[in-house]
Amino acid sequence: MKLSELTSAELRTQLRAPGIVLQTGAFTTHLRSAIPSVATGIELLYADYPFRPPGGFADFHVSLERPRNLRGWFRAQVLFLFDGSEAFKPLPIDQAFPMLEWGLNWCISSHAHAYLMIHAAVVEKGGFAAILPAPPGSGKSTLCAALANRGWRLLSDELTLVRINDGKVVPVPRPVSLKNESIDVIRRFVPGAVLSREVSDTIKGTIAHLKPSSDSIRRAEELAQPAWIIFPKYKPGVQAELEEVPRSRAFMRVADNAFNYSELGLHGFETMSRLIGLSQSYDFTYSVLDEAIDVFAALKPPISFP
Amino acid sequence: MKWQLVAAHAVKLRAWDDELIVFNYLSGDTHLLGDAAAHIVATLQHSPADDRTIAAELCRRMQFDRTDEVIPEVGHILAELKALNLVEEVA
Repeated sequence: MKLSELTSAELRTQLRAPGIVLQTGAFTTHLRSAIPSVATGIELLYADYPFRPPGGFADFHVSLERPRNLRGWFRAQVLFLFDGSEAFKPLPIDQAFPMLEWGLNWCISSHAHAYLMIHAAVVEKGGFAAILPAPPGSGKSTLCAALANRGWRLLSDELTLVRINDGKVVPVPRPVSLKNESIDVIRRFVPGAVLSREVSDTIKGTIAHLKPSSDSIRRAEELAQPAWIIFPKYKPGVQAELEEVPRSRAFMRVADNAFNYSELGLHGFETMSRLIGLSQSYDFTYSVLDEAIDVFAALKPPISFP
Repeated sequence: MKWQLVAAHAVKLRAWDDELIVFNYLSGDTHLLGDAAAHIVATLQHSPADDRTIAAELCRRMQFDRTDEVIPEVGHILAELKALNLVEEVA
């Protein structure tokens, strides 16, 4: 059953109690909240996601709540609770929906050690995945949002999950987090884009989330074969350009961007070795999204695959 | 004096082009080694060896015939590999 099959009132009532179990790719999250902006964000951006009533197994149990203390009355705040415990310091109530998104990322990156987890956006076309590892500010999510609206399937804008036993990329399609100038860039690039309300003064600046395509949600169980590792860097005024990165260098850079490479020990090394060995790696500089799309469209999958 | 890998059974290597990724699963550390260091580690994977033998093997692989000139450089690289806990002197 999809969330869009609930009326707005039904969704808000169920979210308040007993909550809903939301399926986002490989993960199920039991989510509860009585905060209106959380319900509004869920209703807008998660309408196409499958859900079920609570009961049975869920990977994560989270709730967003108002703190019950004096400060909370004078300056409204929100808490992200994981298994009933505070996972982070409270934030202003206006940031409740971004906090949910950040919290869900944290749930995965802190617990999903059945995968090699890389801080990277990832998109797919023709069964092949392009992994985009990059630090904040490099234009990773903007590029990901643009690609996901020009023929590539969104697997994730933040977390690339590489399965340890076979090296396949496991999708976790969720709303794409856009920051500051990127919000208007994507509004212009994707006419009709569905974006959440802009929330300003967060630790990352002004934030809005972009709704993923229905196709990426419907195909969330389709794994992808890694084919390209592309380190994006937005540079004003430059022409879009790929420059090959030697595999050994790519290995170290992707390991630096992985959440749990060291924790996985030998599994981490072997999974990373396979990923790098199967992929072509490039540095990619761009300034114009249309040029970037053309460069990605011209990518050819590596010749040999197992 | 001979050198050996700290724990040959616990070191995994992955070579691409002229560089080598070394994973030591006793320490959990991963290192990126350049051409010469990669050859030294590969040499020591087979058996312990002294500076001269390592330098001779390196010269053979790189088609360079002045082993004596290479020995000091091998010494520097071995010191760096020792600092990374990848090699040690044989007791």
